[in-house]
Amino acid sequence: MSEQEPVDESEATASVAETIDEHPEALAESLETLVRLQETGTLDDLAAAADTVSLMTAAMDDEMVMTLASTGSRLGEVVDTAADEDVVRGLEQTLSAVGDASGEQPRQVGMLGLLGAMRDPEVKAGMGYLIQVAKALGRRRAAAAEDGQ
Amino acid sequence: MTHDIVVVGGGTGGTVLANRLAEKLAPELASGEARVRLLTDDPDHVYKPTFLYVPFGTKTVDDARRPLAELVDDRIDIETARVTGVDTDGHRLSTAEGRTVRYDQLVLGIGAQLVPEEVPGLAEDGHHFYGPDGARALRDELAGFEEGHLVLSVVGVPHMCPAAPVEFVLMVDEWLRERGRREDVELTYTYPIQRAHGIQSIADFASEEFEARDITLETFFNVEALDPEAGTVETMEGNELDYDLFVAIPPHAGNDLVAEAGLGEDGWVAVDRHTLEAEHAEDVFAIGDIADVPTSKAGSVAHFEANVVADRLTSRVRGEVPTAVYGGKTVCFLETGMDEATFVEFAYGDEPVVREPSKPLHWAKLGYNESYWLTARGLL
Repeated sequence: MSEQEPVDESEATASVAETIDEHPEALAESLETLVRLQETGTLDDLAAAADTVSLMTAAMDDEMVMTLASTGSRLGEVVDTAADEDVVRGLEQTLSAVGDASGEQPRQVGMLGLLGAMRDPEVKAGMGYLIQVAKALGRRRAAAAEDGQ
Repeated sequence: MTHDIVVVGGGTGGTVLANRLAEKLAPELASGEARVRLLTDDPDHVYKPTFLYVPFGTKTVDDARRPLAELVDDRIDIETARVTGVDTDGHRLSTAEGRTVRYDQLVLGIGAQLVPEEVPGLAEDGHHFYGPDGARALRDELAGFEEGHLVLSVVGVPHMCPAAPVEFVLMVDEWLRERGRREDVELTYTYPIQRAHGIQSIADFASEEFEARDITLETFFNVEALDPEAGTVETMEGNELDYDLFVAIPPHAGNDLVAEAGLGEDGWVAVDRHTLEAEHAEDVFAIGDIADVPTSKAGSVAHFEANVVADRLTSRVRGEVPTAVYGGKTVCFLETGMDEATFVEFAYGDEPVVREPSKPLHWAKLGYNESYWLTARGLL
């Protein structure tokens, strides 16, 4: 907040001496940690990371932070819904089915072909699932409309 | 037989608890052995810390509101009802809609009430940022406030969000400086006891900041009445102060239904501070602002308490001995201006340390506010 005022050197030395006097053990431990970080090269990495943080602090503003956090939060909500056990099972089956279907060359199907396909038990089971999804989707959209969303 | 858990209140405590129970009791909810109902008189969830930013134009009141149905797990039954009575012997609730709701375990998370009318003149001429209407009115007032004496007075203790009064006055100081108005506005902060805040380290921090920023600190200042015509505030200590804009932390109260149910004489639920179980009734818990525990009335408290109560309820449903306890964990951000913040964290009996304010901590607070909906969903 406030501008940093110039500090008298002798005052600064006395202040450092006072700090050493008051916290000898904490300072010794801190210095040991610092030396270890320096010897292992971690200190350079931390300094580089700190520079990156400084860059980020200089470049960003409140609006960017809020937009990023808000986007992350909305994504988090989608992930939360997607992580539900039933949703995971449904999505995995659907994705696997897309994979299975994409491995084969589909033939062109007209109206008659469509009617013929409907006799296939596997297509019947798949259609049943799709209708169930449509029903659930309709129910949720109606509830959302009722809540004014 | 179905084990009926009823949570009353759709604030931070009630919402986090409902979502935690949905996870923890998933098998029992699926089999019908347990049922969790969330009773609320507002179908929306309101994140109140947003209101602090409304007077400064960086948030709107709409940012604070989301439908509970979006936030609460599908396995929880949300019912809109205003609970008006608790019969702890009969294990049932009565509602304003004339319903009776039976419970096996009850959790009250009904929050605190604002009662500005307890202080003559306050509702009429005092501003606040503890609700949507108050925050909006203060925004309009502040926008046109070019010169004069702005007084921020902590009228009621305890109050929600312990850091808010200090935050507001430090934010308004910088907000006015940014607009070149600070020299024409005198700022005063008042507090009822002999220091700037109930928490010693926050009081020390605030006192230093106030001195550095030319904000007058008045302690032992217990507001008795406002005289809107004269623009003065009188204290129980016999002092008088002129104001042009009076911003109050309004008096807070518990809830009459708590006193009527014998759960706490003064309207706050008397609970064991570790288990959060009511002291005067069986199978009743309280979380959030309504629980009388020796820590701050903060959203983080409601959140951490909800986790503990979810654990204890899960144990009870399963016939196990509950072991989860709340240790008073509290985390509060503290804005120290418009672009820096700090935070405190403490537990029962701890004296928090106020860290050096910084821009990243301010962003952490903004980021958390944006991500709060994940907390409500029980994720963060």
